[in-house]
Amino acid sequence: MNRQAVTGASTGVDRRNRFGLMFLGLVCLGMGAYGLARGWGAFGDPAASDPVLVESWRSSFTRNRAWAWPAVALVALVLALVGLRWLRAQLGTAPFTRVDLAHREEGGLTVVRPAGAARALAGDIETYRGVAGASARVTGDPETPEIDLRVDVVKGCNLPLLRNRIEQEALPRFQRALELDAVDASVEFRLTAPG
Amino acid sequence: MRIVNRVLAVAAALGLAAGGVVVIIEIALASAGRGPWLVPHDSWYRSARTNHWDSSGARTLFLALALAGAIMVILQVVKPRPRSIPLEPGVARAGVARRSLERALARTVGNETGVATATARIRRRRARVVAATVAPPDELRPRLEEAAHAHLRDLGLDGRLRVAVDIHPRNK
Repeated sequence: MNRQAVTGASTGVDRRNRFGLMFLGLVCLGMGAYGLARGWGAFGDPAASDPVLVESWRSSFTRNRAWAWPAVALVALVLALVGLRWLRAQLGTAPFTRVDLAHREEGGLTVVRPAGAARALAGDIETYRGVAGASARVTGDPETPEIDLRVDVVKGCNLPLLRNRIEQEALPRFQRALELDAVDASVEFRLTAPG
Repeated sequence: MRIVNRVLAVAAALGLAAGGVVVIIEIALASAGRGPWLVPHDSWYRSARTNHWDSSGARTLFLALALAGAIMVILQVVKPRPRSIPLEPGVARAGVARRSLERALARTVGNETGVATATARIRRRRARVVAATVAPPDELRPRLEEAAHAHLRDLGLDGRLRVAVDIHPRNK
């Protein structure tokens, strides 16, 4: 298992969030710690009594103002784009809506809707012994689709047997329906309370 | 933790995107000889030239920055409990939802004779069951441990989770 847990499509976003927030946290911590250390005289008393906008920084910026402001604007643009991209990642990947099988047939057009195939897969699994309910979601893209399954099982369900049946019967059937060479699947079993 | 991170990430991303755009607009306005639009950068500039590193205002600002950074770092370092407990590798990635497993394990142990209530808490590699019992703990412990192990064995999780059962005699 190459992921820490079966968490479907959200895992990548969560990992990126952790990285981004860790980086941002370290930057804030570093800046805050430097300011506090300097204010408390860690770099000597003259440094502590300097203005926050140190004269040498100010004069250096003023000398190079011809390119300094465009450079600041460029950095701001990059940060804005990073922010937009990060924001967009929170929305998740939109499921693709159709798989076109036309190229595999002559004179006809066959379109399979993955959402319908996923519903059929869930319905198929719901007929299995010990299953109280199931849902399926297709994510990724038509070339490398991922199927994310949630299966509610009742007490006493033989989980290894059920898993085997899903892997050996339901998933290959789904794969054949979409004429896929391979499908990346994750299954989360939820143990339900006896009714 | 995952939800906290999502909220923080949205806030940080919005801050970066909006902040970046505002900075670009302010620079464009300033270069055209116009005054501040949203950010009072002229008063910030004056303040940065008059306030010193050891002034209380600057210290408060840096303290707040350091605290916010430390909280963000700590939140990322602390590993959240997994949403699912992974099963043996197979054709598909498979796992059991942690919360449902905690409830099921608590029910299993709670249904044993002599147990009044039970709760379970699962981390990455261990499950801890706390049982309030009305029978002597020494008699119950092996039975409760076996019940928890049997439950995990049926699910194919025995060996993936270490089980610890804490027994507390229930106050009468």
